[in-house]
Amino acid sequence: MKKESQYILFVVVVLLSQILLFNNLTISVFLAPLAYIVCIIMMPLGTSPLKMLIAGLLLGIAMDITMGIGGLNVIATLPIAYFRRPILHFVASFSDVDSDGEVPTVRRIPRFYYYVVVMVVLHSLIFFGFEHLTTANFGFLALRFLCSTASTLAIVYFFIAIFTPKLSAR
Amino acid sequence: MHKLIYFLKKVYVPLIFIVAEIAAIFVYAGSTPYSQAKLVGLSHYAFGWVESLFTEVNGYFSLRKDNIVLTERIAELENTINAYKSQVEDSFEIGIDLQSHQYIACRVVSNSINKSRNYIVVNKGLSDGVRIGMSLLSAEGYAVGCITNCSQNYSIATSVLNTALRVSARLSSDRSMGLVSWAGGDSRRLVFSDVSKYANIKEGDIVEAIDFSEYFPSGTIIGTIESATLNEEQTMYNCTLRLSADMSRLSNVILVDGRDIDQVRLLKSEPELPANHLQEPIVEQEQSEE
Repeated sequence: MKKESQYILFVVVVLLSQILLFNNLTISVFLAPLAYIVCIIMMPLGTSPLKMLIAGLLLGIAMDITMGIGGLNVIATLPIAYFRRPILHFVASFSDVDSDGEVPTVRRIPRFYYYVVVMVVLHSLIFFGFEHLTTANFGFLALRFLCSTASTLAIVYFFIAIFTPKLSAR
Repeated sequence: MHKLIYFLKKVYVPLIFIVAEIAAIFVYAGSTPYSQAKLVGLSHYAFGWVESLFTEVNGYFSLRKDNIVLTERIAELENTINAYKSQVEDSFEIGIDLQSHQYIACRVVSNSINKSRNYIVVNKGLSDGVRIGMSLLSAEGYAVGCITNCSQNYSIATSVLNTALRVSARLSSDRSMGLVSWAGGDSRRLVFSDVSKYANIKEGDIVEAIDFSEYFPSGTIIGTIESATLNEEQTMYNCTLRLSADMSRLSNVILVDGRDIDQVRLLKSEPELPANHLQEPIVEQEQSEE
């Protein structure tokens, strides 16, 4: 119960950071960090596929409402939530996905950082792909994708570094 | 029903994912005019691709039908070509294989009919592919002459109105052979001589070049029989032939390259074998007996 409340606190902190801070960043048009995806990345390992899907859907809807984008976050978040299991299995070489309710960490997942990178890159790819819907002005799109993904990764690592010891503490 | 429920239980998560994703795409498409235009364009592209895929597959299955249609079309075109061929042959009135001859159209530069040895000059020469031995036909395909000399741009043909020219010919009706020549004088009449007395000659019979004529393609019409009389010995017919080509009005003519003519000439120019070449070498035999 304590862990669950800690995870909820983690999600709240992440969402508030996203809504209040990252969505209002006006440093550059190329920087659009989508740090809320860390909520899906760090969801407990034993979560059922349906719960994952619902969590992804709710997260997407919440982000769409706060960002004022109709459906784009849901489009990007749903596949990440749905394909988290296969990604964990094939990319992170973690086969015991139904093991327990622990959050994924460096110690539990053999190739944890690969897993994080793939999740973030896939999410950004779908998000910015659907945002532009064209290959015209490809340079701008690529630069926006690269900068945003890099910034997202940095923020995701930051959140993981802060909260993982607490979430994974036994 | 149980199977359906079991199946839905197994696939409900992917189903929910697909439905939710499609719904999200629809919501996004309706959110801004830009996304609507782009997604509609993409969907058209995707549907077009799928449709073309199906069309290609259907096209593959209808190949048999297409082949039948194409075969019928080929047969139709073959018939059309044959019809054109026969029309050309009719206009030339020469029953020859068109593929074995090369045709060059040219114009008459000068033409004489009032001498004993008349010649025709045409405006095509060696540079145009003309060579000695080619036949010269009128535009209607009647025999006119034979090329005997060529320069680079002009050629000279020995006219059929040349007393030196002897053309092997036959009656088209009963294929009796004879020799066509010009006796001089009348430019509209030739002589068709040495025709067998057993030939069934009638007025108006067509005289044409024989298969291995040295001067004209096989079947080229030379003229029509006007009259026929037996010679003094009562062994051969000598006929008066009305020339089919109007030699006084020659303008456009056709040069015909009979590709087998050279071989015929070569055979004719070979020295004759001695008369006794088939006899046994008696002397040598006797010597060997000794």
